[in-house]
Amino acid sequence: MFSSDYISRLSRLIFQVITLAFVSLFLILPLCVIISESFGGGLKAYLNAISHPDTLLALGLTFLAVIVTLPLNVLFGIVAAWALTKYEFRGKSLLSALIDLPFAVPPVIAGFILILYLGKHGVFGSLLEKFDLNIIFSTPAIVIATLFVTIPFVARELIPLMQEQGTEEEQAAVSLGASTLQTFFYVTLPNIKWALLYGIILTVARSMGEFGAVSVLSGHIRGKTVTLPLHIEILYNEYNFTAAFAVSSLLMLLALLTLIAKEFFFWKLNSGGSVHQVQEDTVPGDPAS
Amino acid sequence: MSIEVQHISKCFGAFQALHDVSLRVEEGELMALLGPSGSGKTSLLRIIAGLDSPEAHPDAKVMMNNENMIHTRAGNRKVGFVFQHYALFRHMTVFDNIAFGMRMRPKKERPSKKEMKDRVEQLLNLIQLENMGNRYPMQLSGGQRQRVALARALAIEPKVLLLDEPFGALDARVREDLRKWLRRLHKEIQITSLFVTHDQEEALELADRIVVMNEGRIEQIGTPDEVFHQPRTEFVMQFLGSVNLFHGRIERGEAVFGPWKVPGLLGKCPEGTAARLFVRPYDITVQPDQQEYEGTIAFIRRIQSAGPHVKMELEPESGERVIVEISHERHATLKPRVGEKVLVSLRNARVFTEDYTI
Repeated sequence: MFSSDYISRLSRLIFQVITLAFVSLFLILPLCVIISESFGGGLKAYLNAISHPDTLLALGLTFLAVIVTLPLNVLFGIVAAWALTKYEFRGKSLLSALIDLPFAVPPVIAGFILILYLGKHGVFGSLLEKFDLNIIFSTPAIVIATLFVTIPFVARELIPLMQEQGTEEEQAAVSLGASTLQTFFYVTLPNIKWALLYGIILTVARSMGEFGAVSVLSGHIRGKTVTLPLHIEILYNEYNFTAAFAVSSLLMLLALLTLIAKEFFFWKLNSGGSVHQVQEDTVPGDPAS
Repeated sequence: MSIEVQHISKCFGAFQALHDVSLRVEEGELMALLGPSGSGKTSLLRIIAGLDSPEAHPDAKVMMNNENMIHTRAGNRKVGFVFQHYALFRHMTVFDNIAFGMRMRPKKERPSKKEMKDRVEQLLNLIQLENMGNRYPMQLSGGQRQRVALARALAIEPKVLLLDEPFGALDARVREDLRKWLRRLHKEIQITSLFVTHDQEEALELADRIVVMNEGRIEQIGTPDEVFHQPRTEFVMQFLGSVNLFHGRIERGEAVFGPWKVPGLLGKCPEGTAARLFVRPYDITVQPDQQEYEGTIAFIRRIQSAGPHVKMELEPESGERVIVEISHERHATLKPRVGEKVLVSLRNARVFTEDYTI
């Protein structure tokens, strides 16, 4: 009969094969396809596709969305997580539910909801018109859609960690004379820095790739309000496969970079960065004078 | 610096943790807040530290040296607080943990780098962790962490030291050593200290005076001898040390508990009042069943002679079983056997009725 050692080795082998198959099927193979397709028309066609003004504009808009979204989300995420985990207040569960809302609402629907609010005939439409603010189908729309969709990422990353860490260290800091700001910068922030960076990476990844909400809210006007994912879709729908894949390779490259960064921060987050060597308890003698 | 609190109440939602508590800790005193969990002792300590605020009351006061500090920020109260789970800053070395309080001071009041270093080293010396300054809390044992927490609290040169279950998370042997060490330390630095504990032994051994708390109220304040030998309430009697408890009633001026009667209640309590009798296991006399002795007849049901005393379980002819503790010497002369008939009498029995105590 099989020994248990044999079975455990066999099951390990099976898991390794499954993992490898997954990675090849969903990461390596698509990458190869994208690269081979994007160079299908030769290097020149590739360079043409990624240096086309529309592509550069989409790249710029994507970066803009990330650059504006990120600091706002970091700020919101920290404040929300801080409030939810370190304080008791009315409406706490409501705030918690609000943070999760973008997770629950499909991005396309989120886009429609925002149009209902900000559109010409929307709730705030007349007010926006009065101040001559045009949000829908313009650059701010891209930012707002991205912001809405990525709101949970930083907060959701921080909340479990801050909950686990409790408030004792903050209380200790306060009792030692630290102000609220000092407590935050010297005690809270160092304790959450890896989780925060991890949340930032997730936000960046999602902001770059967001399609549904941005598509609805920006109106994907070519050469005006098109981000990288929208640009790829347009090219693809025009049967311009080489260009579509070339731009995809750009987005894929960005995704890979964030994936690597994510893995690094995740590893840092779990290792805690220190060696845990616990001392034996020793008996203290007389207090020294 | 003395501490005095007056009319302090605290609610957590519908739960009232403290009911109008007033208390005074004298300068240089080491005082224990003793009680079961949920008795409000930690809430009171946190309110004194300024980490929690009491319910608004016109006469509510938290005084330090006769100055009301109720609206003063925790950081400005000159209070050193030691947390139950140490609450050391996990990302800082032992040195940085201890120096934290000094570093957070406004620039004008902040000591120079050299002064800070000297002060930290002096404190490391005091807690006997001289060469551990660059370790992280994770690398220390529970007892060492507790001492670092104490040094960190002392670094701000507090006028008052508050400790929340200081030895609660440590194992028995370390606890005992640390307890002795803290007692000596307190003798040396003479700082007004208040510590919370649910361990009666800890309170009796360490404290100059003990505050016994139950359900958000103070049951008794007194020296260890007073609360142990003259408990003012049933709760104190039961919480400090083991007791035998008998339920009975007042009949013709006597409190009657099965075979036992306590006289002297004539005219003081109405007939039929429910009464409870408490007696410590070592306050029970056991005599052989012979003519010259008096007492209630009981049978020995169990003898346990391993331990500092000999424990016996006796069953009177009528009534509830009694736990008795006798010395090993007495055990040697009495030579009791399981099943044997003996005579039992009570000393120092305390009777509590609804609103009367002897």
